[in-house]
Amino acid sequence: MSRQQLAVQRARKSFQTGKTKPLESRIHQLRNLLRFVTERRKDIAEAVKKDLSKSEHGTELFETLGVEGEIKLAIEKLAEWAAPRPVEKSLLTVSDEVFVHPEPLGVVLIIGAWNYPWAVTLQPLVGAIAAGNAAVIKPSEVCCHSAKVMEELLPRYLDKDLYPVVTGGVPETQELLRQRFDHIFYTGSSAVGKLVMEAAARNLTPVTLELGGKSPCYIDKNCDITVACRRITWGKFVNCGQTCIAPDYVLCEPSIQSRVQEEIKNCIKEFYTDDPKTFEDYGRIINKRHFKRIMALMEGSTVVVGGDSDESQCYIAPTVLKNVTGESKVMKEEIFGPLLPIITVSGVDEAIQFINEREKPLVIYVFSNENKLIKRVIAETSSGALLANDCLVHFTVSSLPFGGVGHSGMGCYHGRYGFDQLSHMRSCLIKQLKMEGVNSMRYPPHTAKKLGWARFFLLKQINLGRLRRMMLLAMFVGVASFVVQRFLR
Amino acid sequence: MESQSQVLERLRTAFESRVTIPEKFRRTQLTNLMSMIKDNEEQIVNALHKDLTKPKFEAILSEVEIVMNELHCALSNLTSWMQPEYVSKNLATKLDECFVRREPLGVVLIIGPWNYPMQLLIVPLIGAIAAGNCVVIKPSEVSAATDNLITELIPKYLSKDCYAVVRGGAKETQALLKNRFDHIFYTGSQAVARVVLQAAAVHLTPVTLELGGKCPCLIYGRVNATAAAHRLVWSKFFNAGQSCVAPDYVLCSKATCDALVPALRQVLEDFYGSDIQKSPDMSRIVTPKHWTRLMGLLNRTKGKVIVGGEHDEKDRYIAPTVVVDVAEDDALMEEEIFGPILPILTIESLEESIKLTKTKEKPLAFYVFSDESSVVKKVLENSSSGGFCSNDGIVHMALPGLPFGGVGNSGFGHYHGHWGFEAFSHQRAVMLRGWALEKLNALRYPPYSDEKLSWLRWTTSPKSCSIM
Repeated sequence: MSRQQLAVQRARKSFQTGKTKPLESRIHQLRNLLRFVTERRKDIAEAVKKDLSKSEHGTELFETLGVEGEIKLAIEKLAEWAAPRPVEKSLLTVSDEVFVHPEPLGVVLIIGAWNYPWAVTLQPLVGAIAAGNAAVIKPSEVCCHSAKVMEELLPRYLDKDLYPVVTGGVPETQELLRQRFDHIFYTGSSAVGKLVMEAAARNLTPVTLELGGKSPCYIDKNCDITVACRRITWGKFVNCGQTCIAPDYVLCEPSIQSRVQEEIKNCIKEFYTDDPKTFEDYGRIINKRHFKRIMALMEGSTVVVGGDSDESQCYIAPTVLKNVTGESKVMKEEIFGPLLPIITVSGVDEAIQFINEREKPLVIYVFSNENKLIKRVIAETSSGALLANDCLVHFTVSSLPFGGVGHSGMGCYHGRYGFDQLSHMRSCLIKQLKMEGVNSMRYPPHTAKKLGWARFFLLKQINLGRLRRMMLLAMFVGVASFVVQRFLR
Repeated sequence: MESQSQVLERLRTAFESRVTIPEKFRRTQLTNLMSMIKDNEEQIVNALHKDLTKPKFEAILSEVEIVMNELHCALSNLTSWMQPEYVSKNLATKLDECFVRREPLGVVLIIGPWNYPMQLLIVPLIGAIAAGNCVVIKPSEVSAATDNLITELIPKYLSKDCYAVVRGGAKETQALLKNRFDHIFYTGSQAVARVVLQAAAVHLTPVTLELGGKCPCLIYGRVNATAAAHRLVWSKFFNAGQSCVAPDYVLCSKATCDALVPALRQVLEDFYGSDIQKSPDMSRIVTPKHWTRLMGLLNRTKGKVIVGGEHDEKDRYIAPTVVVDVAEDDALMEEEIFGPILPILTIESLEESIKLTKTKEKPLAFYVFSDESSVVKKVLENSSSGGFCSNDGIVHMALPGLPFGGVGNSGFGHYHGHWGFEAFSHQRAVMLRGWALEKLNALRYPPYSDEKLSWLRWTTSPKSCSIM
């Protein structure tokens, strides 16, 4: 038996003992996960530094802060999320119990990505644990240091059988995907997303796919261009552009193009100093393969800011490109690097058209003072999410669903959405064997009269609220007329 | 005749013109759909009778009324369903507008089955229309008369640009699946579901699968055998057992079985008379192929046929049949029966029964009959299934408030009522920030520092807004 098969089998056996059912045991695991993230802060930061050259602060800000927030929210809200959810009844089920019962799915597979190795692997895990599942955790082998730390240290905090960490490359992942899971949660590229879905199809396994795409960023000439550029610069160059929701490219009118370039240039200097290469808070490209890929994307466009690089360090300076069209090399794939192309459009109409000609992205950014314009972009485009006048921060609002649409993915998570995504919402109708007389109208032999009654009673939905109000009103009228008759005549 | 790609192109152009977005348009289509059902009730009943010898009562209840109910639900609630949902925020985002918007997915495909050919095609359609999509409708060719009727009626009542019926068998369906859709809604078998999922993976198309399974029916503890028998017979033999949520097999103790069988016999006579084949209230098996399959199971069973067993090949008739002394490895326990044969397995303890059900795939529905609430609770807590109903069968799926769908081998995703609207919508997170508080934003910009970090911790925690 392969290592992967063994891990899945153990997880399933452990799940079947029912130990994840009680909420206290789930909260216990979540608390342990929180301890892991806080106690092992240094180990996590060191690993991320080796993988992505991210500073310790950067790791805390962009990786562990989010995970901590999600864990605390889940602990606080679990009782509420896991409680049976009542549902509207029909006339005949008024005396029955009708509710939706959230239940665990079973054994979930979580495949993490390399760009935020902790956030995108542990945040889904929070949802999985909260929903009462076992979870096999497969960190990306590309961020090898983080994967190693996860493999070594996580089992010291979480139940080893319920939440095994399985590391490995492509063949190991393929072996994992041959096993049967009750849900697969994948974060990564659209290309691999298709393979995951295909593998899941064999066992009729539902999937959540958090993919990517080219997230456009439209800057309207009517906006505070300085502030807009600050927020865009920040959003773009965090993690060296290796963020699924990074603004991939900018669209703006020619009249503001040079201003935008200038502002971004100034922000880069302000945030990353004159020499980002030596600055602690500027990262590196994950590996040589991606370095070469990103460098090649610059072909055919003009560099206006940055452009310098150092292959030995996988360093690419924060770069802005102009003379970019829809056909340029840099527009052919998701950049996932520190290159910011600026494409000119005649206005919001052309911007919307440009966006709609392409696959639905994970997020659309629009910067404008005009609410009407923003509302138009919302109404006439489609994307996982839309954020106006800033970048990235919608990720931090746990009451917003985080997910894609079309090629940017399916399903969503964060907060309660993560819990719901990894639960089965079971419909429950609890009836008694009494009141059998009422049922007789549905039994054969069928008559026209029975049919008439059945049509009325069996299926009619009643708005209990309205019925109650009407009864209250009738009661009030009754009482009022009584009072009038008795005392006022 | 239009080719499949021409149909799809027409629908995609219509969707891109944004004609399905306004609430008014969706209401008009739903109202027209309602007229379609009302105006043609007789034709619908006749077509269903032709296909399945469905009694008028069953047709009205399970194919007309349930659809009308869903339409009423959609029309009454569409406005509120379409409203943006405002969500709670943390301190850092207090001044922002955060909401979730329900948006149509685009061009969706609905593939219907043959057992409830109207309901299981039109109810998903209601959700798809309400959510603002364009829809390709693929009725089952097995229920040929209904297929014909739907093909004739849909273009008469619904916008031809936005909703199209595509017909055909396996070959045409496979060709259809090669196209790119924004969602595929499939009701049917596991085998075909795998094909649908593989085809969907090529385009990263999300899918809803409404499949089936062997729905167990446990009868334990103190139980009113007569009432249980009435509800069991009704839900089992409705549509001659050809319901995805029909109780497939019964598990009970010997004593219960001995009390149950005469009750079943009596109820069958009360319902269908002494010559069931002559009763107008009993359906037939849909095709000779399925009749042969069911007779095969009956011939191979090692159990004892204690009620029924009569059959007539020409009429595609199989009498409501009860088989006792059925073992776990019997032919009747191999696959979903989907017919009027009820095996009873005698298992003395409730725990053993629950254990048996756990060795099988998760079914679409799970039933338990008992007057003891502790028994009901035990079964509920120790089983997994799409839906659960105690002391009755099927009826839980008639409530639009309950999500109707499976888990594991019985499917994923769900619909009915609001859930149908959600199934065909994209929940888009929208956040509208202002320009103020740029100083607050500065906490997140490089160069990073411990102090900045601790401020950020405080402002972005969900708890911090409760202080305010």
